[in-house]
Amino acid sequence: MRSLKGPALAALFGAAVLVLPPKGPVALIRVPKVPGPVEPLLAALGVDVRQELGACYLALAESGELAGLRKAGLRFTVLDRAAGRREAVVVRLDAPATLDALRLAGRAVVAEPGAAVFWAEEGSTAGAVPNGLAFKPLSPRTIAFRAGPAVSPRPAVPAAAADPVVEALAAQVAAANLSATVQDLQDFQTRHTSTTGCRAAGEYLFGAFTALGLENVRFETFGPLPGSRNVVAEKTGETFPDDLLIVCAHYDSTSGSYQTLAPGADDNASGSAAVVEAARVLAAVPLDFTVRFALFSGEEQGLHGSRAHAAAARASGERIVGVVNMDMIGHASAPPASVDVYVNRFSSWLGDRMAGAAASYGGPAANRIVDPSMVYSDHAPFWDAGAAALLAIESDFSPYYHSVDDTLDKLDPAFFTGVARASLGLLAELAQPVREGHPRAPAGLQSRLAVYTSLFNRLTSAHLTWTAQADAAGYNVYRSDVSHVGYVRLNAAPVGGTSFVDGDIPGGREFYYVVTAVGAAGLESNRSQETCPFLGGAGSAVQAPPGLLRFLAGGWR
Amino acid sequence: MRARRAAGAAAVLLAVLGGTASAQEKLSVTLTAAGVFPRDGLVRRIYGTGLAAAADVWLKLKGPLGLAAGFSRLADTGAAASFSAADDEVFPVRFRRQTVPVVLFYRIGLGGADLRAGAGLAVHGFREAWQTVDLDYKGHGWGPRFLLAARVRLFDRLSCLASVVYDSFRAGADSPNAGAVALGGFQVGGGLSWRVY
Repeated sequence: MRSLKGPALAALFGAAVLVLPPKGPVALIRVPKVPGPVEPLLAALGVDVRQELGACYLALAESGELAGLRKAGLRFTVLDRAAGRREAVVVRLDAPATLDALRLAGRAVVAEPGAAVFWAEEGSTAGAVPNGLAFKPLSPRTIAFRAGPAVSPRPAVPAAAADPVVEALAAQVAAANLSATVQDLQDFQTRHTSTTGCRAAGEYLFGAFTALGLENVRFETFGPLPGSRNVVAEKTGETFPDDLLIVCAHYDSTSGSYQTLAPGADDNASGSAAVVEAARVLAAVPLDFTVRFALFSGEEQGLHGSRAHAAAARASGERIVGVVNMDMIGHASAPPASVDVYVNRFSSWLGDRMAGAAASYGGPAANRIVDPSMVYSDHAPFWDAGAAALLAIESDFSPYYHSVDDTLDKLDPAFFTGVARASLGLLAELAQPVREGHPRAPAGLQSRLAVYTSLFNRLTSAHLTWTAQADAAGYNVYRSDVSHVGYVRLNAAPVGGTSFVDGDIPGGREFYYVVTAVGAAGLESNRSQETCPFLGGAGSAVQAPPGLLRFLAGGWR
Repeated sequence: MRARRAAGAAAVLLAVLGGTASAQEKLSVTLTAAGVFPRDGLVRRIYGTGLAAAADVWLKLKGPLGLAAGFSRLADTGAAASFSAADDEVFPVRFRRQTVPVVLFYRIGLGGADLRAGAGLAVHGFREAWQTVDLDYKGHGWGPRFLLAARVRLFDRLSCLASVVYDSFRAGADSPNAGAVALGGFQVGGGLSWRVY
């Protein structure tokens, strides 16, 4: 009997050819941030967004997806018709000649004022970037793109009152310690990634963390730079061990003579020293939240260390509350010195808190700048991973940047110490030192959104539940329309049970909740984790269904 | 078989009673009640089918043409919809709609009965209110109306009629839900008609 296998397979193949849509080349496109629901449309269409900048998004799309974008009325321009798997980077255009230099090295297109997209036709794109230019590779996977209505950068929130416990911790930051660490790092001559000096600096930092008694001190290796290592340590939180605060800096350096001399005192022994000093101050302090001290390498070659770390954190589902990245925090030539705090739209609360910490704990004036285009340091991969992150960097940019003259004597100790104190103050406020005699912060806070709708109105309520605290006589529930900032208590008297319903929430805004425990003597605990039932964020038990998100975004029909 | 015979007899009786008087009819007044079958799924989910009452004046124009104008009112109650089975609270809601239609129709006489088909405009005003929460929305709108009616004369001036009406209109784009709702749909009903002239 004649076999029917062959004809059947042929028929199946033919049917597949007919039915499956053709896959065209993958193009790199630029989608401008025009007024209108760009973000919800990108999310709804499942566009593979690889980078957010101030004026646009950069995304990869096949020809079929481009047709979908056109049909949806979304404007875009094609930057590279055959982007495929080619690596592309965003390069800061800080001088008129930069674009020319890039075009000599490969293909470059201006994405927005001050930023170009660059790629090499062959070979490594990162390796083709002319030395000394700040750049960031596009995310290797879709960035954690947040759907929902566009959020305009809102005005900074006023600083809260200083916390005396945190104030005492910030005061322990010593200028002498900071200078000593910078000197030690500078003494390695060069910390250019993959040099023996960089490896030795890594060993030195590993030893510093180990000597402080931190937990889980480790090297993290990553490709493609052989031998380059991040140095990471942790202090585990006593109440919320799975919720992370990351304080980080890169310890590698570069210069025109990077193989032999790249002291990198400001860039970035200063940030590294502040991380080590924060570790020293907090090492013996019991905290509610886990703090991770991370010193990255490979930053000057394209944020390799932080990209690997952020990608691993995202892949393993780590819950990152916030990231404080310090990069060049020691130079100030003329008073009044100030520090720039760069955040993206969804990290603006962190900028507010940093500005508040600077004002409260002896830091210089902090300028909160909402600018998703500032992607040239180690906070940017955390933005890609969807975490709140900030970059603290001197406003008065060092003239010794990437030069052999970037040495300790060029730093301003008072300014440097002030920024380190502000950063530690922010970190301690968020990590919450455990307070003697106070009840423990309530754990297990979960939230659920209940939305009832009629034809023309809706009623939204948040249902909160948490785990009972043994030493609590009652609980307070706080709400804010800004994450981590400006909480207002909802209950007049302490809540007796372990649940609360916030009924009839005003429309058009998101709300964030925390709960505290109140002891028999009236002392109040630290705050619980924050939960946002609108986003299904940290602490939230239920992810808002896509239909609900569309509904909240006003796109019900 | 018995039911079919009864229906046939009733039809003959109505035809005899109806005669041809409706052909001379100039003006009549009708009262109808109709089941409302909304087009929009959310309307059906919240309110289900509703019941509307209407009063109309039917005016003969030239030849087989006529004009119908009147007033109708829909009153309905339901419960606000929730997105999750875990949301077990009930929020009763109430919907009221008043409509003023003007329809130009074409009449076909069939002895003691006639058929009327027409199209026109309807102006609507409505209000939705939550019973236990202070939420309220008022709106208005207009849209085309299509009519198909059959009338059978019962006595000298009295007729019964059956009608199907389709309204099409959307409203509420500026509501807190920020989306216009298709409030139209079919109305299927019946009533009585009284010949004035």
